[in-house]
Amino acid sequence: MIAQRFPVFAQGVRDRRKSLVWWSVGVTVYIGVIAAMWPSIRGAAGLSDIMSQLPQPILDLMGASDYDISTGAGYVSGELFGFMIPIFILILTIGAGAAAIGGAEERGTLDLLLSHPISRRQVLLQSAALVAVEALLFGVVIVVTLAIATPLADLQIAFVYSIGAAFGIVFLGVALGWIALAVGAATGSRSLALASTGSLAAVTYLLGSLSGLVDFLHNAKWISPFFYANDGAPLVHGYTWWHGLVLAGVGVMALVIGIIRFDRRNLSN
Amino acid sequence: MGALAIRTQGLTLAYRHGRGINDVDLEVPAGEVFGFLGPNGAGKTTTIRVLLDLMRPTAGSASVLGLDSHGESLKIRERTGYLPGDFSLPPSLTGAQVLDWLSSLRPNTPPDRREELVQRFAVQLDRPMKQLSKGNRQKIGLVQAFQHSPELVILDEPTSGLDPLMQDEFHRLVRDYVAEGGTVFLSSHSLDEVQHTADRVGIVRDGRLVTVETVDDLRGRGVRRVTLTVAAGSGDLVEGQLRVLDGISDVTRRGDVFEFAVVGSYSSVLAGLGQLPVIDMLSRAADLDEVFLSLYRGTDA
Repeated sequence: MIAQRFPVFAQGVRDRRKSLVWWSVGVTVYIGVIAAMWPSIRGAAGLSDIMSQLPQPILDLMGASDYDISTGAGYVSGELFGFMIPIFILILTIGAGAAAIGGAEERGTLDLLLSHPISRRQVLLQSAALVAVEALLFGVVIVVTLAIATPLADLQIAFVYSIGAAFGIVFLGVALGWIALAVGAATGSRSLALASTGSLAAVTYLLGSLSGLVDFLHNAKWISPFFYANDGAPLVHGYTWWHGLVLAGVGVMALVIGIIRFDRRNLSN
Repeated sequence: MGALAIRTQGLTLAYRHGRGINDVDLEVPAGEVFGFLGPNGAGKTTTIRVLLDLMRPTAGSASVLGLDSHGESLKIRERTGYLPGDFSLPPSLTGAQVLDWLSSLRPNTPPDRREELVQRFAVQLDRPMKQLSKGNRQKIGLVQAFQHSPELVILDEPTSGLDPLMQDEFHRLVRDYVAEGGTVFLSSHSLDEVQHTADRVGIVRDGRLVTVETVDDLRGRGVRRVTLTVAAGSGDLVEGQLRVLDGISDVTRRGDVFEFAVVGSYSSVLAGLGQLPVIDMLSRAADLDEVFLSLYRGTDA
């Protein structure tokens, strides 16, 4: 049924099935290990004292100013959501987005696909759906793993907050994955899509984390997608849902530009 | 008959690396096998890819099955089969998976047609693409181009990588397909390859359509190859004479043995050779590839 109506999407799922399983296993294990360390870290005396003695700029740089790292939710938020989880999802979705059209064109499979009665727009939209579904799967894995780990390691994370935090991550992955997809579709180059989107992520991350430290970068956090994914420690205080809309809007804008460019250009063979 | 399967008017595409096409006017009636000939980089693939809306012309227009190549491309692609010249298939998919996937892109593919084609070319369906040779991948490419019984197939270098047995099978397939009412547009860099199947050939060179002729006309151009052996030591004298003689072209020399093509009248050539110390002269009809080459060289000047 899906295969008939959305052949590109269905084929993408088949192609990536195996690697998605491994991704899920990897993320589950990673979260599990971090969670398992919590009981002994909490036991270590004076963690909170050390943290409280650090100057504010250092805490900002660590992304640790929004929450108390001596609580379970704060610990997981800092250890996972501040850096590693966003990195994981970006590797997944930027890779998927860049491969979908730019990669197919580089490999030489796009010609054959587009000689069939399917429009370029359909190919792009179904690829976008694939990226979104991969991100969503990633989010589900986070929520489920945290739901299991919370009672086991006494993390005291509210289930609703974990859903919000996961959504922030999913939105981040979708936005940058769609940018990579759009760049690949507009240029026909997977490597360009990877490099440009990867640099965009790196630069905005850096600007965002410096914005609390450097006066003239004070407003830089507003251009960082990581800010909209993870600001205010969603795991501790709940997700600011309009932030998700910003990320989704950026992703949709990238798709629109991607479609326009892709529709008009000569494909390379 | 009567209807045109393919028609281009002033088709032009300025493209980087000089691989563009320039002012190509082409008419291929339905039911014909049309051979599109030219060396690599002449613009064959570019023309084909414009027909399928993979590239967009900078001037002129193309219509396929009476439909505009850009505006109505989806309808065209529903009714057309295409074999790209240089294509890859997802390396981990088996032949069966590739064919299933591609037919999922065409909702009404008749199921029995594929079976027949698979038998015909002895296609290996159960091995992943990365384990298949170029020829075996090419066969899968051919099956997917024909499996939905299209009205028109556009094949870019269809026999590349096929062994002679399979090339033969391909030629039979083309004939059967045309007998059932199909139209074939195929490109090649060798005239030899298409002369048994094509009704007409168009020759492209540097992005321009040089000529369109029937295979018979092309053969009837009367080009003959002559091998001339002259007395030892007179080679330089003869060479000087041959260079200025009208009606011959393409002179090559190996010691006292010359080869050239006679394009014009024989008697003037013989008259010109009369004074020379000729030992032996062998003349034969040029095969089509030589005709083809002489056409190429002819437009060089």
